[in-house]
Amino acid sequence: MSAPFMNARDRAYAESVADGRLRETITHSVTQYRRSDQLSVGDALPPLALTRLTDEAAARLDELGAGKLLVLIFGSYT
Amino acid sequence: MTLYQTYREQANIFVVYIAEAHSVDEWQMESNEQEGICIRQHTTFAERLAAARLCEQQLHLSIPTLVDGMDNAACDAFAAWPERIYIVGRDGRMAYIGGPGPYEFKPHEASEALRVLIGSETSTQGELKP
Repeated sequence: MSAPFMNARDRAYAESVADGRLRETITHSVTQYRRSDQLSVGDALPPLALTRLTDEAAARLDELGAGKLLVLIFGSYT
Repeated sequence: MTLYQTYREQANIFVVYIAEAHSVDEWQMESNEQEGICIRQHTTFAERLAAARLCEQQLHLSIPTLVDGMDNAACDAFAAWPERIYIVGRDGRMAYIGGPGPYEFKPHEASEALRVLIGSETSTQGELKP
């Protein structure tokens, strides 16, 4: 796993927040989850498994493309 | 038309549900609060599944959803938090890597990259025909 990380834009945003407590919260959240890039174009898919929401079955990343292009859109509700 | 509606026949497209970007117990956003979107950061996989289901229902998502584990392995490996788009070629190698959100999360750019990749595959296949 790569180390906790804040990119320049994260840092600039956090520094623009006047409320010290909120600034601390932002910094904590970002450093907890933000990671520096590990993958480049041309790299192989990492050997990972995820869980399908529909049936909670395991889904290996390297099987998801199934001969097609594979698009992964990462995100959350919030 | 969304990326999914446009390209679902040519590409396998998934949402990967990861750690919340703005959970109510961490960096809550006022805009989320105004819209009643108040989700605690998941501490169990059951909570993450529940958040993913809520998201799917509330946003009427038709894209199949996959859920990252509580070790955040996919989120970390893809440096994906809070949001990001990757396109993987038929050879299993990264073909397009979108910028990290929120500043560089650009669905239109990804859609254009996908269109070009589909086009290049089609023309390559054409060239190989006898």
